[in-house]
Amino acid sequence: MSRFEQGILIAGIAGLVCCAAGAWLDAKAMLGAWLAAAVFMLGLPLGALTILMVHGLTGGSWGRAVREPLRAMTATLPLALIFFVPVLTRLGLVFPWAGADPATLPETVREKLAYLNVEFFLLRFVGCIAIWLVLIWIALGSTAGRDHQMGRNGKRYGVGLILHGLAVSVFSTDWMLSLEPEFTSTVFALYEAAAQVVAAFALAIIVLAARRAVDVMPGAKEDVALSEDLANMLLGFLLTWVYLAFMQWLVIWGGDLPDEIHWYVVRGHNGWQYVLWLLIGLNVLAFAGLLSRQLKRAHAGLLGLASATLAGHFADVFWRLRPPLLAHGPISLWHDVVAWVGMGGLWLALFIFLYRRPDRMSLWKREAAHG
Amino acid sequence: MSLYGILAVFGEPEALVEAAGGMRDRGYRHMDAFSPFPIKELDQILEIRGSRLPWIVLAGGIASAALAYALILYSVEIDYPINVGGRPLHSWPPFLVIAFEAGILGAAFAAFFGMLAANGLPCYHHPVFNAEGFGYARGGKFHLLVETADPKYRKGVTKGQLRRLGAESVEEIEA
Amino acid sequence: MADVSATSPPVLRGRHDFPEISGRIGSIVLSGRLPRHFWTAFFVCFLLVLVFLYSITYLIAVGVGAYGIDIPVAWGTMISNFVWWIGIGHAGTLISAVLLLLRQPWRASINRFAEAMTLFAVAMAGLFPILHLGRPWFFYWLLPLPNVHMHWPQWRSPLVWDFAAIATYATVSLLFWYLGLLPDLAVLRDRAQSRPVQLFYGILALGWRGSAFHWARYQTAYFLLAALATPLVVSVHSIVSLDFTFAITPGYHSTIFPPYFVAGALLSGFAMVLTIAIPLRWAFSVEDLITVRHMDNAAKLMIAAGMVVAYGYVSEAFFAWYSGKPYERTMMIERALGPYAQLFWVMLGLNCGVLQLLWFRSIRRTMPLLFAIALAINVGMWIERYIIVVTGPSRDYLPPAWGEQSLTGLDFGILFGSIGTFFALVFLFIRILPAITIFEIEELAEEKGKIR
Repeated sequence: MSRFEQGILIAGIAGLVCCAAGAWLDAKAMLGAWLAAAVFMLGLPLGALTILMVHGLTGGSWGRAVREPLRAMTATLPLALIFFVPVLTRLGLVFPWAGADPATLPETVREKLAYLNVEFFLLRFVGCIAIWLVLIWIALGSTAGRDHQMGRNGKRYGVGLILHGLAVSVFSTDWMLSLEPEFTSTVFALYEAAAQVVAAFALAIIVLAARRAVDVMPGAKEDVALSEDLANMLLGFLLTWVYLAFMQWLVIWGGDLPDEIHWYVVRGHNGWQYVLWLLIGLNVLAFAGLLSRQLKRAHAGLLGLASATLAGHFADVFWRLRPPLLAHGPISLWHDVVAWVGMGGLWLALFIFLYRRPDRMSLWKREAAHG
Repeated sequence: MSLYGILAVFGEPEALVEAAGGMRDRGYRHMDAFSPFPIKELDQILEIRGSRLPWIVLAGGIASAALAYALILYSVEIDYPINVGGRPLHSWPPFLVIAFEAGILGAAFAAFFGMLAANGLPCYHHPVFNAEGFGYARGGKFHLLVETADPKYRKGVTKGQLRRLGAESVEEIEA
Repeated sequence: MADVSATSPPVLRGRHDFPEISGRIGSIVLSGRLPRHFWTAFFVCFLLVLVFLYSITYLIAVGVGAYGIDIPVAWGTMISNFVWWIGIGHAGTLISAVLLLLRQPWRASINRFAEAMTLFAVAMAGLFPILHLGRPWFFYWLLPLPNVHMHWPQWRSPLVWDFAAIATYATVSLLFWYLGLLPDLAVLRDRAQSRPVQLFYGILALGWRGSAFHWARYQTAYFLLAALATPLVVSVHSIVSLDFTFAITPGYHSTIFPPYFVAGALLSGFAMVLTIAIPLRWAFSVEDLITVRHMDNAAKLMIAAGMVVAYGYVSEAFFAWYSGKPYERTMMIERALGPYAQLFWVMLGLNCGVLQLLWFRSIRRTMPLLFAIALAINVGMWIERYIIVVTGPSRDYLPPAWGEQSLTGLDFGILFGSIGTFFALVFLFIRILPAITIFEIEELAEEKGKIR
C-alpha cells in the first residue's frame, strides 16, 4: 500500500470514529447523514456495473479505454453494500413506515404496508445483494484479460441487465423513495440509474485523466481524439439524466397532486433551494463545457468537466436524499461531513488499491467463487 | 470566353489525393477537388479550414429559443394576463418545453441554410459543368481543378504536371 | 458494433464498383426497373387511400361522434393512431441520426428509406390530432397567430407543445432527409436521359457538384443536424406522452411515461423498418446492400426497446398498487380484467411474449419469421396505444360515470386508410427518389476495400 492510499485510509478511519461518536450522541441524526453518503457510495459501483454490461452488449472502443477504472469501481461493490449495515440495525430511525404505529401513518401509506415492512424489506435487500454479487462476478470475470470476446456474452449481459434493472429499481424504491412513503414516481428508478451511470463514468474519466493525457491511450479512432469520444459519451449520459430529472419535475408540476408535489416543496425551501441552484449550476456548467471541442480535447479541460459533473451528481444525491432525513437544521450537518469522510475515505482507499493492482481483483474473484 | 481552369480526371480516390498532394508540393494553392463522396484526406491538402457552422447553429438555436420564450412571456405577462388553473403567469416549466422545440427548429434552419449559403448553393451554373464527362453520368469520377487564378498556373506546364501525376485525361474549361 | 466478431455477417456483401452502385440504385428510379407486382401493390394501397379520403370526409361531415368515442372516453383511436404513427416515425431519425453520431457503418443502406418512413409517418400522425379536434378547420388556433378572438394559445397545455413538437419534428426531418438526398439527386440529374427528368432532379439538386470544400461543410451540417435531431426525437415523443401525464386521470398520470413512450416508439419504429425493409430487399434484389446484418441489428434494437417497454408495464402496474390510491389500483385491475381485458392480454402476448423469440439468432436471421414478428409487434404496439388512451378515462374518479367506447367501422376505415396512404407514399418515394443512399454506400465500399 502506498502512502497516498494509507493517508486516505487513515482519514476514512478517523471519519468513522467520529461517526461512532455521532451515533452515540444522536443515532437518528447520524443515520440520516450516513444513509445519504452510503447511497452515493453504492451508486458508483452500480453505475460502473451498468456501463460494463451495456458495453459488453454493444461493444465500441470507448469502453475499452475506461474498462480498468470501471472494473475497479465495480469490484468495490461489496464494501459499498457493507456501508448499509448500520442503517439496517435501526431502520425505524430512518424510515417513517418502519416501526411506527400504523394508526399514525397516512392512509395511502397504510395501504402499502404489505410492501413496506421490515421483513420483506430485508428479504428484498438480500435479493438485490445476491443479484449484484453474481453480476459483478460475471462482469469482472468476462471483462478480464486484454480483449475479451464480444458477442458471445451478448445474451448473458442482456439477462444480466434485466436483473440489474430490477435490482436497481427495487433498491431505489426501498432505500430512497420510501423515505417519504406518500411519494410515488414511476420514473424514479431510471432517474437514479442514470445518475449512477453519470457519476461512475465521470469518475472513470477523472481517474483515467488524472495521471496522463488521455489522447495517447489506445482505443482512439483515427480522426477523433479519445478524450473527445469519452466526453461525448459523458454528455450523452448527462443529457439522459437531465431529461429524466426534468420529466419527473414537469409531470409532477403538471399534476400538482399534494402527495407528489410535496417532494419538491420540501426540497425547494429551508435552504435546500441553494443546494438545488448549486446542482443546476454545476450541471449547466458541465453541459456547456461539454459542447466545446477545445475543452474536451484539453487534458485539464476534460478533468475539469468530469469533476464538475461528479460534483453535480454529489449535490444531486444530497438534495434528493437529505431533506427528509435532516431533523435539526444546519448544525447537524457535521454528521454529514464525518459520514462522507469516513465512508469516502474507506471506499476511495479500496478503489485506488484495486485500480493500481488489477491482479488483486481476480484473487478476490476466485475467493468469491469458492465461497 | 476566358479560361477558368484545368480539370484533370482520375479513376480512383487514392489517385486524386496523391495528385492533389503532388500539385500542392509544386506550390499550387487555387485548387478544388470533386468527388462523388467525401474524401477526408483532401481537407488538409486543399487547406479547408474548420467551418464556422457550429457557431452559426448555436446562435440560431439560442436566438430562436429566446424569441419563443420572449413571445410567450409577452403574451402571458403583458398582452393577456389570465389566471388558468391557479398556475403562475410565468409558468417556466412548460414554457421551457416550447422554447426547447423552437431552439431546435432555429438551430436546424441555421445548419441547413447556413450550409447552403456558405457553399453558395443553389448554383445551377458553374464552369466545371462545362467539362466533358464531368458529373456522375458514368459513375463517379474524381476530378482535380487547378484555377487559372493560381499564381503558379502555366497552361502547358500545369497540364503536363497533372498528366505525370496520373490523370486519365486533362481538359481546359471555359468560364 | 465496432467489434465485429467472426460470426456476424458483413454490412456490405460482394464486391462493387462505383458505376455499378450508382447505376443499380439509380436505375430503379430512372428507368423504372421495378418488380413485377409493384404497381399491383400500389393499386391496393391506392384503394386504401380512397377509403381514407372517404372516412375523413364522413368524419368531418358528421362530426367526431361518428367514430367510437363516447363520454367519458372522449379520447379514442384518433389519439392512439396519432401516438402509434408518431412512434413509427421515430426509428427513422434514430437510425439516421444516432447511428451517424455513433459512427455505425450499418446505417448507410437503410437510413434513406427509414428517414422517408419518418416523414410519411409524421405526415400521417399530424392528421390525427387535427381530425380529433372536432372542428379541424380551426386547427390554426394552436398557432400564436393573431386570430379573430385576439387570444393566445394556452402555452401551459401539452396539446400546444404537441403542435410545436410535431411541426418542428416534421420540418427538421424534412431538412435532414433533403440534405442527405442532395448528393444523390445530383447523381440522378447526371444519369437522367430525358430533359424533363434532368430538369426535375437538376432543380432539386441545387447545382451540387461535389466540391471538396462543399463536402467539408456538408458533413459538418449533416452531423450537426443529426446531433439536433437526436434530442428532438426524444423530446417529441416525451411531449406526446405529456398529453397524458399532465392530466391526473388514473393510468395517465405517471412519471415514467416519457421514457416509456420513447422506448415504445423505437419498438414500433424498428418493427416498421423491418416490415418495409424485408420485402424491399427481396423485391429489388438488393440483399447485398441491405444485408442480414442490418436486419439482425434492427431486431436486437427491438428487443432492447421491448425490454424497456416491458419494464414500463411492470412499473405502471406496481406503482398503481404502491400509490396506495384506490382509483389508481382500480384502474389497473380493470385494465387487466375489465372490458378491455382481451386487448390487454393480446398486447402483453405480442409485445412481451412474441418479442422474446428475437433472443434467438436463428430466428432473427430467418426473414419470413422476422417479418411475421415485426408485423405482430406493429399490431401489439397499436393495441398498447389504444389501451393506454381508453382505459384511463373509462375508469375515472367518478364510478357512476364509468363507461367504455367501442371500435366502429369508421375507426378501422381511418386506421387502415392511413396505413394504405403511408404505403402508397412509400411506393411513390421508391419510384421517384433513390431508396438507398448512393454516396454513402460508395464511401463504405471504398473504406471496406470492396471496390473491384
